[in-house]
Amino acid sequence: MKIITTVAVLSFFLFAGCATTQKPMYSWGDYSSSLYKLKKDPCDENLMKHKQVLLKIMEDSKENGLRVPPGVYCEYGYILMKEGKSKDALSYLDLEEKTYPESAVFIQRLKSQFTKTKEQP
Amino acid sequence: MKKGNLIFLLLSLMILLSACGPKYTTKKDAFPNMYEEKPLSILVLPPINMTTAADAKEYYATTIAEPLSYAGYYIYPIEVTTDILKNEGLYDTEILGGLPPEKFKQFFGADAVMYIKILKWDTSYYVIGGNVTVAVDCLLKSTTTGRDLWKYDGLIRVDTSGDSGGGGLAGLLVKVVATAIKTATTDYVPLAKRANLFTISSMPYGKYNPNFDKDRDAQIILKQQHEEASK
Repeated sequence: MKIITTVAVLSFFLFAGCATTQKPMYSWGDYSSSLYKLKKDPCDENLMKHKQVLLKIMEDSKENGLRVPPGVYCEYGYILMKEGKSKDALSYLDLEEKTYPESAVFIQRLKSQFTKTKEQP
Repeated sequence: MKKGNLIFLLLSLMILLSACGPKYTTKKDAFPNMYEEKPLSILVLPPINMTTAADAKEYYATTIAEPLSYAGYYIYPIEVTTDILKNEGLYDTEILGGLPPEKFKQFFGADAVMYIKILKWDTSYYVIGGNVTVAVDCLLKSTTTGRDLWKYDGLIRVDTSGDSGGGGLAGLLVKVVATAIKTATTDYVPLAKRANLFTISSMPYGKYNPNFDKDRDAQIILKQQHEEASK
């Protein structure tokens, strides 16, 4: 009985908490679904769709004044990198590092890996 | 509604439903190292799939970044890091598990590394309707000290038999999952997301979450029907 009372009180506070609406932290869009489809069937169409989802996440985040979720700029940049669009790719990697300075070591590694492969004949 | 509140609500409902069962504690008592080290960036290694469900790994890997980011952490893009590890000849999850955590600090600059084992991924509901059972083992280790920061091992059961009628936690979950299943019958992603949300709910908040460091006294359930998971 005591526990039930506690929970009742607790829930009351919870519902009270809901009244102050806070903005969501991120907008992830359809990320999981499109990535899953791409992994199951890595065809061009699914890659294109996943790229669109990544771009949409960036747009929506900008529109709503949210930080782009961790890894999204980088994942997009990485896809561009593999497509040989080096200039664009690097700008997205920079955006990741600017948004999340803790990604610096990783982003530098990615960039150096990229320049290495590019220098190969 | 705020995500943190939702998690909290779910947790308190769980306490209500299981008043006679599991023991609960506070986040700071359960995971003191987490509050001491305050990691910011987490590298998620490719999950080890111990089940016969071939898809489990992909479902898990594609849905884990989202809840971890909401919890307030920087999550390295799993697609990219997995590729890089592959290039280094480190795709085999067995080998990865054997590497000292400090390696991942050098390599990625990660504060912590997450090891995931999928123990059970029972999707029989798809045919017969009924329960979905997911059991995972998650371990977050510090790349600075090598200590365990946070772990979760437990069973998540979601009743998907449709209209449960009952309120409480089960009812809540069913609603969300059932809706998802109705709209896309072949889509397991929402289920994997639920499972992840559940798993992550005991994790102390990270720096990007507004509740960072304010959740020390939040109540969590230490273990949840773990015995059943091993059946």
